[in-house]
Amino acid sequence: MNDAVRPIDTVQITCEEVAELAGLYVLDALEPAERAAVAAHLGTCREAHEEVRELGSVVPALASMAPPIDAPGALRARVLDAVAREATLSAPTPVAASRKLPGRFSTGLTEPARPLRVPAPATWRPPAWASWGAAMVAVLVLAVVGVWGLGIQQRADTAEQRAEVLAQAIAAFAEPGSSVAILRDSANPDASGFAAVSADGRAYLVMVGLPEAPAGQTYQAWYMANDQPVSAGLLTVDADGYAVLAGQPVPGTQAVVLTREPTGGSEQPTSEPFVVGELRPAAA
Amino acid sequence: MQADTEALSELYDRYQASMYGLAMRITNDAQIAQDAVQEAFVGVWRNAARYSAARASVRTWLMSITHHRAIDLVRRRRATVALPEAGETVAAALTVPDVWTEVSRSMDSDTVREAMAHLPEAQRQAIELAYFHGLTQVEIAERTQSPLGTIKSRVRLGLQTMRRHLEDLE
Repeated sequence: MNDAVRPIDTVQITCEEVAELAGLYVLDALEPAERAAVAAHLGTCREAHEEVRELGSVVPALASMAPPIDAPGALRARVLDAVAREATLSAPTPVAASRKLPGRFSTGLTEPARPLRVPAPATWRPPAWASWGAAMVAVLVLAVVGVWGLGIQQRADTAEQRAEVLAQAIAAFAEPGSSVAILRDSANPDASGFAAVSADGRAYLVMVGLPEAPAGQTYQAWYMANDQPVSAGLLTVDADGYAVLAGQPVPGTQAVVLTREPTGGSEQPTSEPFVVGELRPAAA
Repeated sequence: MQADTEALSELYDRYQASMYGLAMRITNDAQIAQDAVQEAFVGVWRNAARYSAARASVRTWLMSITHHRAIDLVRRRRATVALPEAGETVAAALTVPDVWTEVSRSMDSDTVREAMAHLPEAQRQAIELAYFHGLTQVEIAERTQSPLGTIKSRVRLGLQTMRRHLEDLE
């Protein structure tokens, strides 16, 4: 080899040197000192350094060359435990309490004990972790609907209205004061989504991965308030398996549930709900 | 914390196979691969607020963190690269890697393999040694008995060619 790695002065590294190192930089294949030098340059340079962005755009594709492999089953609990430990280290002392699912249904879906936060003193300020919940759930929302959202934008002629409602739903999900719920069909792991009720009284429900309703049936959404269901409307599943619903919740809505009803819908539920989403504040 | 725990469970169920597959490809060791996935999710948890949908998809974000953690673990195992002091390990584990915007949403493995197949062997080898084996430019140069400048060029030209190919498929 004719050349060697020379110490790179983080002050003197040039745009030309950054361009030369761009490929190795985006692959994280530089020595630590060089990597730091490039990062420092990119953080302060007035040039756009498009070459870094362009070469970096290939990196996500490389990951897809690794075939998926199901992780050992025990890893799931290990990961969730590790994250729970992280959360415990930062969170205020929780008080365990059991919760009863709202509604008159015997859903068969039991909810585990959920911590209640100790009332905060007036001078308390939310620590950094307080936003994690909302951020994490927002990531999930985007994981569920993000790519789809982009997809329907490309078919704007047929789905423009749905895309708009979806955008409103995501915005409501992120608004301060909204109440949100993650929705899951326990019998169908492919079906999930979210509900959001904004502080000014708009309600949205998004489900992804629902199959077409069985013949002679339709999906119907219900607001649950004071253990009483009030119809939120029929949920139409598009050919791609997505369903979006917007409306106004009844006062005191605590949860959103889905049932299968005879075609045309029902005034009151005639079947047990297959999705139950208890609304709760989006962020601390 | 129920909603965020549920969200994490959902993310795990959706992406664990892709993340573990990538970690296994890099580490070739089931235990280290599991450590990489676990550390990646801890990083996800801690850095969820930094995620920007405008920059990258959730999948790309998760895979970038997984790659970063797996590479870090294999380098520590090799211990041939100057690494942060032991006391900096915790901070290093929480580092958020650069997350690059995708050149293409057509990123099924066959498409990418086809793009890779268009590369001269030396370019393909340099990219694979860097991305999947976690080798630095110095280690790639030693492994391939090539000058450092050549490695820089091979990686840069290889990524440029792949980008053009993937863009053409859009």
